[in-house]
Amino acid sequence: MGNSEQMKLLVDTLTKDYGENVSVHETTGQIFLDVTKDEMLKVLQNLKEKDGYYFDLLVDETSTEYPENFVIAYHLMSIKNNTRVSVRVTIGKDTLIVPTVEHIWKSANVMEREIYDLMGIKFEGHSDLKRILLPDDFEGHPLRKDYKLEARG
Amino acid sequence: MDVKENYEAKDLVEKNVILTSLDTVFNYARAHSFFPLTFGLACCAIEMMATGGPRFDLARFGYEVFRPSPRQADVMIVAGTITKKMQPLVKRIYDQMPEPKWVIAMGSCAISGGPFRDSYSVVPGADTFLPVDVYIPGCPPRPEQLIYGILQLKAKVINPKKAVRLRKNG
Repeated sequence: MGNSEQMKLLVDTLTKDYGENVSVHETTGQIFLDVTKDEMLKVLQNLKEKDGYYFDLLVDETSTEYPENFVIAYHLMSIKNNTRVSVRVTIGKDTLIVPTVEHIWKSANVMEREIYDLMGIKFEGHSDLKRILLPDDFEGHPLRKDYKLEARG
Repeated sequence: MDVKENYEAKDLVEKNVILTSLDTVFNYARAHSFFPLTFGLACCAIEMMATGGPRFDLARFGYEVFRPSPRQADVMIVAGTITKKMQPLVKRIYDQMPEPKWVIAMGSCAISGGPFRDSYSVVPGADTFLPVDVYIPGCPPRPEQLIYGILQLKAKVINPKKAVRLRKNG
């Protein structure tokens, strides 16, 4: 992240632009945007294309399991402005489906396959959603909290 | 002419003719020129490469010709972690090697899965699907250990009856 002034400015613009639907936090030098599942595509598209933001690089896409829900995080970076932001989407445990961002950042293709492989979250509209690290005939999603390891033989 | 009566011929026969089975001769030759497969799965392969290099010099024993094709190799050194995704490929490479062939399990991963034994993605030992002849412990084993292991295999090939073949399957 650049200097703190630049960051404050970014937080202010983000709050101004998305204040109603999106909550903006700043902790330990990182900016987080909490978005709902319905709003996420619009916000992410906007973060990539709008001039003031121009987050052209999807650094990483990750998923975390909490007792009540799953959280998908999109870690974005603007190469032009040297700024970073993380967008978090919370999804309930009953419907593990999120829309894909493959059409916004092509690199999401493999990251979403990895999340699907290890966490079992499905990405709606993904072009080729299949396992990427584990063998094709693997059963279950091993990074889930309810995944049981086999007993020692 | 009676050979037994001829002192000179009798001496020659005693000093120059050895009676043995053909297998013993073949095994003697095989044991002195193993052709290991150029094949590594993880960090153990680095030690295997060092073994083949000039410092540890596997060539001293005549085993330095690592063959790039399984069809030309007779020793498979399983050097590293076998993941469940890699297992069918390791098995296929082993099947492609011509008989007679031997397997060395190098390092704790190839012996039992090692530190990754409890993982969801690792096969707990090469002997679950290959007939392993020699186990070399270590994480990874030093090149001296690998050389000692190959020399143990040599002793085993020369004296097949003395060595107990531990086979879980096959």
